[in-house]
Amino acid sequence: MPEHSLLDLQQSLLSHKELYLADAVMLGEIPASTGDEAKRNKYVAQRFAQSSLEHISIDEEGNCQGLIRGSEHLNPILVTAHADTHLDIPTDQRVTVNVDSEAMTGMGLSDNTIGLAALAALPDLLDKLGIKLRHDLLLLSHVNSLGSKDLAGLHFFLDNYQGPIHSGIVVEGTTLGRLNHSCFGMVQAEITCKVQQDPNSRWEQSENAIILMHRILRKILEIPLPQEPRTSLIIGSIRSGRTFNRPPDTATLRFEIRSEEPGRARDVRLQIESILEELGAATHSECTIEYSALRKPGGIPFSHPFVTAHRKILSDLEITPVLGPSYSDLSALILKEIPAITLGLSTARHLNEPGETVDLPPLFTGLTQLIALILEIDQSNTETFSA
Amino acid sequence: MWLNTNTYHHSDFEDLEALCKAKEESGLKISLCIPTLNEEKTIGKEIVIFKSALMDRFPLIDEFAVIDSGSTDRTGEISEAYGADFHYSGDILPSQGFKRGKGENLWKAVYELKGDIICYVDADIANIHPRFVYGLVAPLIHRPEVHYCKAFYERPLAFSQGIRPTGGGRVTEILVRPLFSLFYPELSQLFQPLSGEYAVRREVLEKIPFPIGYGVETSHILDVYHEYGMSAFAQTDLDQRVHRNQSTAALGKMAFGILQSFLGRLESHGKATQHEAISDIYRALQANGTEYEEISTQITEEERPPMLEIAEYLKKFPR
Repeated sequence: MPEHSLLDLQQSLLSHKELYLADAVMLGEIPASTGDEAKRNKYVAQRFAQSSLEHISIDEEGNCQGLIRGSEHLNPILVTAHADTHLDIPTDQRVTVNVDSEAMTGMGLSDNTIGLAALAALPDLLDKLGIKLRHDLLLLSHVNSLGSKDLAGLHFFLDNYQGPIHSGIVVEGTTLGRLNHSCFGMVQAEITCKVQQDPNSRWEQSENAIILMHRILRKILEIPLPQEPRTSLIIGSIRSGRTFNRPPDTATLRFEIRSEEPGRARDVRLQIESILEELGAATHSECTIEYSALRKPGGIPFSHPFVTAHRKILSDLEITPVLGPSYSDLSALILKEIPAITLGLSTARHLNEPGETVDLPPLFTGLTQLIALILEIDQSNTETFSA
Repeated sequence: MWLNTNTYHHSDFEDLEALCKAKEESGLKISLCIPTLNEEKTIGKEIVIFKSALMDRFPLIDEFAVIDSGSTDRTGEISEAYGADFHYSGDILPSQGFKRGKGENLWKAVYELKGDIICYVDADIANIHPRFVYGLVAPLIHRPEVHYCKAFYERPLAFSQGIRPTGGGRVTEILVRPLFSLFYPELSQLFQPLSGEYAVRREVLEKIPFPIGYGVETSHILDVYHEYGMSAFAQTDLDQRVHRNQSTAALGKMAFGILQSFLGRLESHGKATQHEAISDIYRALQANGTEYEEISTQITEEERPPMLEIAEYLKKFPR
């Protein structure tokens, strides 16, 4: 896309900014913790209906989808955003979003209200900009994406969607410049240790789950991890005990393994399973592990025309790309061998706090980027996009 | 009964395509006015939601203005950033001077805006939604005999299952409703006579005076009732409204201003006679340790005359 037309696109978008912002406010004020996204998707479905999309539906999992028919009915470009937020607020409570001339404020905006609003407003924005695509455009607000739900909504949609998908764009609220074209292999797991305590023994002589978990943790941290291909193990949470002087009988530990190397995350988790088996047997304790997410690494190469096109758009918009693997929604598309990337829309501060703030000038640059990328994909030679 | 025939729920009108069609067929033009004073926190959100839903997507509103009493914060800058017509109240009808008060902004709006229906919506609503406008203008579009549609809200207080505690605020329930019950029993069918959101036909607004302070809503209702009767009213349930909560001391001043307007109307409607001038000093008490003092505040309910008495108005809107 020539640079001048990118600037024209940005200017045109700014002249219709209230269309986008209204959706961001309305969606932002609907709390949507994981598994509780129905109200948000009802709103998205209404917006799709007002914009005369085809095949608007909410599936069994709760995902909302709609289709903009392209002039040549070519295989659909999928644009998807997760509807859930990290906020654990019941849907009958209020979240307040405010807008001033430079920023929006409200909890949960960046992950992922502003991404979802882009999806809801996209049909109207394309219409106002006079953009008609050759490809069908499939818009998906997917649910049950975060935490232990592990992208259940997106997996359900991709498992059940009838027909090929040309390419995919995952829209995330932050950060503008983000360009993820590959995924880490990823394992998320929770270890639980339960020690046997003799009810007749004194407290100071009882078995202590914290001490056992400490031994397990030390052994886990001794597992060698290669610098290249990049592999990491992150200890995210450890919980046990309630007071000062009573040894707890249970402890839990949550961790995540990421690796760019196929099979490496699996090797590490098998080693952890062995540690649990060994220490569990040695201490007559119950040491178990549960996996909330198991994702394979993969993606499209850096030289893929999709990535090249996105880099060019970012460069024309004077945004420095932040390249690298992702471990989020992109993995579900990669699993289905759909060429896809994840992009971010804006910059934000104080994430998931009452003063969470999203900057508006970069947000409209981010929306320009999204529409420009859809146009580039739509106008490219279909063959070059195969995975 | 009026309560059943003239009370609506906003969901009755949520088919905006059909409502816009009915509006087009009626030939009515609709203006939206947001009166402001230092509303930088919520004004941006109100503008983007009303503009996108009721102008860009569905052409229900023909005109949209923010009329301001002299904000010292960023209300004006934010309003203009989102393309609203922003007017300082003092710049409208300069020959009439400027008085500070919400009623002044509402009165100036009658001159500044061109619509056949003017919908007023307060700027401090945290949970703003297009229903705050379409729920109020729809009864006027559908029913020519309705001239004035008032909002009411569900109040999120604790309540037992089954019956919603739909009612007014504290001033309504302990001042206005008892007064209506005594002197204008029919008007006690209005759930929230003091709500700041309502839509009115121009032909009504131009005929009535506007108190510039707290009494504007009460006196409007009494004047419209006196001129047209109960059938001119409708009211719409807009569900919840989340806004700033006022202190009891502030509500005391508000009640004092409303009472002044009410007593004035009682007299002009021939329902009571004032034998001597009433005071315009509101007296409150304050204790600081063992020191006690009286705090006196002058609250004078000044009124603007009916627009039809203003020469510039008659020139702009010739008969």
